[in-house]
Amino acid sequence: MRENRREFLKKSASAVTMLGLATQARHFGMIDAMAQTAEKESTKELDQSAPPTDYRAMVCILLSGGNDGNNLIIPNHSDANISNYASYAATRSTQGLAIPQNQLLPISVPRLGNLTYGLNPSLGAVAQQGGINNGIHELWGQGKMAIVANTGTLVRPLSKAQFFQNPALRPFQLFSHSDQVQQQQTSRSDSPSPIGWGGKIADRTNSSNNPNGRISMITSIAGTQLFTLGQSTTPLAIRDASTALNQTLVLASQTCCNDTFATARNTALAEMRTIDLDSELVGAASHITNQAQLSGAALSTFQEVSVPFPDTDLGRQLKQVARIIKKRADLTINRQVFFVELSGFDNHQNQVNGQNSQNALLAQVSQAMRSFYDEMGSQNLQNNVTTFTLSDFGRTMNPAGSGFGVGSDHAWGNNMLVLGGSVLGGNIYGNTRTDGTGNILPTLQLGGPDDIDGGTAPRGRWLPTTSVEQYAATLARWYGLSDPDLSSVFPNIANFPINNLGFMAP
Amino acid sequence: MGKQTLYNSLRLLCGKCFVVLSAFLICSSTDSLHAQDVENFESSSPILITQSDSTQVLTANPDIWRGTLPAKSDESYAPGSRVMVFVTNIDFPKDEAANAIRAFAQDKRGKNFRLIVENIQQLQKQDWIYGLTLRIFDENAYNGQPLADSGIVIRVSWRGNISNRVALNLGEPQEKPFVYPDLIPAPAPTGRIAKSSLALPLGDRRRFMQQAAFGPSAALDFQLKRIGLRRWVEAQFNKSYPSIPYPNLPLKPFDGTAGCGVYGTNPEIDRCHRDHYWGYVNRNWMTQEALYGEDQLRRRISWALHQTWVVSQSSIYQQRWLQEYVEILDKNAFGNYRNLMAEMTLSPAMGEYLDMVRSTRQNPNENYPRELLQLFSVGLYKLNQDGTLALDGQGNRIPTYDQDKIGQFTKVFTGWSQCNSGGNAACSNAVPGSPNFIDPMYLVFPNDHDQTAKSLFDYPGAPNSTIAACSNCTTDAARRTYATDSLNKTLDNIFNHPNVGPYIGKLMIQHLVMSDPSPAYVQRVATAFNNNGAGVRGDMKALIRAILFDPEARGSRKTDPTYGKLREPFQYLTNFLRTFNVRASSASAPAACQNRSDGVYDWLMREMGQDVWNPPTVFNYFSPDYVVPGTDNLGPEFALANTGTAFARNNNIFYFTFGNIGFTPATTAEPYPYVPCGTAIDLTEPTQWATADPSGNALIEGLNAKMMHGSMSVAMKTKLRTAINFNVSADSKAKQAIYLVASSSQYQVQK
Repeated sequence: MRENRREFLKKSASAVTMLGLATQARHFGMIDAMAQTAEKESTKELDQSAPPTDYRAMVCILLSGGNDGNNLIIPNHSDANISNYASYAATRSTQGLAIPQNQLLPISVPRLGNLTYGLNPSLGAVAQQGGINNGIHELWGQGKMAIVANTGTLVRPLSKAQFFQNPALRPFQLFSHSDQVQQQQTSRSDSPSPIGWGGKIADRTNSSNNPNGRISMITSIAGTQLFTLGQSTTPLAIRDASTALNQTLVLASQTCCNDTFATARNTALAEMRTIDLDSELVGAASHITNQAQLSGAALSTFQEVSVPFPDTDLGRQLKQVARIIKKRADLTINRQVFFVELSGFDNHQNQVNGQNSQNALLAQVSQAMRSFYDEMGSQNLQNNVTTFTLSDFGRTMNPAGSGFGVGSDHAWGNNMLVLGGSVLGGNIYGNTRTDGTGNILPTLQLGGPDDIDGGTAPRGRWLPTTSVEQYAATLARWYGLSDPDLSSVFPNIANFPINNLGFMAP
Repeated sequence: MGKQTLYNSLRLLCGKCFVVLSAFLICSSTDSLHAQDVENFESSSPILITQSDSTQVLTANPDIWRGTLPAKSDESYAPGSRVMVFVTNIDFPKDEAANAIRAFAQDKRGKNFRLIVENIQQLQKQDWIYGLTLRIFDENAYNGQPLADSGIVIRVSWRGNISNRVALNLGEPQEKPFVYPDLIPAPAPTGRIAKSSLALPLGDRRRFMQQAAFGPSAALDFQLKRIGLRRWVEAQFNKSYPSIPYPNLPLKPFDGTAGCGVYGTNPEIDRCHRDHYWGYVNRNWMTQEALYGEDQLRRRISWALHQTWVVSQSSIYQQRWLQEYVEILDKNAFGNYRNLMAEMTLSPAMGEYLDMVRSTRQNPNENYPRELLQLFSVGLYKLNQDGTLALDGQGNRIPTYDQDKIGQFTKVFTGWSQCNSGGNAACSNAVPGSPNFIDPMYLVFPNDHDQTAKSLFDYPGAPNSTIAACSNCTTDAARRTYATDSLNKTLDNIFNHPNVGPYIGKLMIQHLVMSDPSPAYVQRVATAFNNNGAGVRGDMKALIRAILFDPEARGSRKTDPTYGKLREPFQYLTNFLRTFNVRASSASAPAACQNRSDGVYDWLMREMGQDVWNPPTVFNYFSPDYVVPGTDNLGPEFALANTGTAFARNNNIFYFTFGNIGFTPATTAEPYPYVPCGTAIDLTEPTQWATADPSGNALIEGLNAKMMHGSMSVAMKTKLRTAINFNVSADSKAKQAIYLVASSSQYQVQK
């Protein structure tokens, strides 16, 4: 017999058999109900107010590897009282990492006296298939995009002096990818945690906003990542838009045939997931498959989006997110969290040039975010969906290497992008130093007041003035998390003077 | 339950208390032991002693315990308090400690907790009984703490075997305490419980084939049966490798068009791109080695080392570049870890992947030294020898290094680059126009090496905790000598750090045997790493023996609810395919296929989240620290398990069971088909079982033995029987049953 997979699938297309699903649904529903009861008993902090009727969604874009925020927003002025283009160029141009001033995409920053700054030139308009993609630079001027500056992992506000005097106050394992990207996703940097802040938010908002539980409140197009895991929440994880939404979760055993023998097979398949659960690993694997079964049924129909998306890694991911959002009424869900990821930002080398340079990746980010923003507009949801970035950490102001292959090394404080109709955009947000000096943006000076690099050749690793928790809590409040829930989702938020950075409309 | 006890109820209730008898129940009458070395790796299951007339566990207050077994105990314990319970039916060696035991609790909500095991003491008079001090507290607290308003049930495990479940009063005594079903009294026995004299069961040998190889095959099973496990391992140590020759394609320029010509212009050029630049050859070679190689143990260790010393096809994209890296893994799999460190540090592939090749005195790059410390040797935190975190006086973890230290180590690794300089004797494999990924990195420009002093790790007994500045670096020869000497000193300084044994030991256990080993197991393996018995540190053979022959690894059946590991996608398929005599998709496949699979199914691997040789980052396909959602257990492979991959796993088994991956015949237009041989399983044996016994029992028991080493539950057998009890061909029954078993969670978890 000769039969490759594609032929086999083609041949076997037939109706989905739904037998066994009812059992599954009951089983799955019961587990979640138990989890929620337990959650209620253990935390006593569930939001008791009436569920909202509007729709809101948060879309997390993880720029994996550590995006260089120093080349995201750049001073484009010569004001001597604050780091200007000359101070930026002084640390970066000799080795070839500085972006020439005439290439910067100008923006005005009201919170810094309307001084002119510049965005990375990759965030501008480009021609794409089906027309022009205007990129996200334009949305700054329209007040839809903000930057939250010098943000990073922090347990509590920290001054440079405290950083050096008391290592115990530092987040654990600064500059390590695996730890820092986890802390971005758990929001806490005092201890490791197996659950993320997206998951924790879903734990507390799921029962009132996702009453039928047809899919998880969190959808990831980038696998099961820490951000998406809660106490009782596990994500729906599916492939990007190169797979039609209704083809992402299809069980060949069900679609191939519908005779009684096949029906018995699928019944046994489902029932085997209800036994041998004393093994916690078997139970966990079965739980995931149950979730796939239920979600696959919920996603069996969909409508295509109307805006063209770039055919890139991130473009395809955000397009799949947009398809699910378009199904929100059918799914009876009015709060959703999404997680997508673009890798390759660990530019120790080739940051400026080449296919995987930061510039190329940022172009991808800009175009995908723009298409997504426009699609939300066409779905009449521009004010209801907020997109934001996380990244492992920022990078050293001082370049690594020089010339064509120039790059930068691991650092700390970083600049985040937030985009959406409810963002009070066209501005930068964040805190100044603990003693009130300085600006929201760090002083771009090696060994300067914001650089915590020690030794004789400090490389510009900025001490963050704003914590990931403050950033996350501001987003979570907009999403609908109550005050008591804010403090349980973000356990160290009380260490900071404010829990709302003010970049979201109420 | 009345006066019925655990012991006299065993015969009546074996279904319920299978945990105690598991080792005896699974022996099969059709097999007997033929190994010349009679190897018995079985461990018993612990029994928690209850009061004589109830299912309440017998307890004592550890602070005032007098060393004897109490007669009775009705006390209720406060959450977080310490309690002593009593265990029997274990032969606890003198060198084992409390970290060999795990204790679990469950409350009435059905939530599971891990309790702290503080101490174990043998009773003086009744030396078959041990007092075990527990603290009723879950440190991870994933599920919080047990509810204190009702009793809990507790159980303990040792070497992967779980005890009976017994009740413990927690919190304020209740008028109507929650009653847990299926508890059985187990009063103190009056002496040692006799060992079973039954013939040794076969489950252990089948478990061994999934730990030390890429799954069971008839030929391997036969060898193990004939010579035994230990002799097989020793034979593997001396076996030639690889079984399928390295592809050995010549080096090409960085750029594919320069190396092969413009893609799409003729089949030869397209083949050149595919073979040299796209990972095709290396993926298929690896898959064929796993399916058919006779160097199974070396391949398995090398694959685990790849997942530790990660490089990725995404950057190391040329066939020969990656092969040279794999050869270093293969060569050192049974060598010394220190030598692996040295060869990998100067590997051009690693140099390219983690940027050491670009790191100079003038422009140092931290990437390699940081990952060398964090991922390849000592890890982020100081460890005890049993792999648990060492804590400071305040209970905080202690970082192994800080950023300043990274800066110091970085200086050592500057100045090395690919050996491209023509005419240099050290660069004998250099090809003009192509980067040299064959010869080790070399100090082509020795003045790029940092010649200042460095401060390295300083731990008790640390060699070379400082390196002095170069005093005579006035010639290139002197600079090269200084840089090489500094590198050796630095690797010695790292290699001898006490963290390396437990760090690497635990990683390797996770790859071979189980995701969440007991600290005692890690400690035994670390001890073997630290000293192979002849005073040698880092002996991989000693490490491998310690992992594979540990009592926590061995035994016919493991019943601890946290035991095992999710099969990673690659091994999920190789285990399945090898079990069913994997071959080409059809007898009409070209003769060159020799009726073997070509190993081409990379799109299936990608759907399951593990693209062979192409992990997404240096953090591997999955993280060793990943915690299984909803549990307290480590489960690295679960990082790849989600709704999408769950169905992909299931569907891939479906394609292989009800169909196959068909080969494409070569044509003039397409002379080099992507799938030249195809892949299929052989259903002959299971079909015979189904033919011989129309009830289906022989089929189910056959699959139980072959795929699940006899551990299939009665409930699962019942589901299978219902699903195949149809008037269909034996072949259809076989396919139905194989698909159901292989796609089940029960099989996907290697136990």
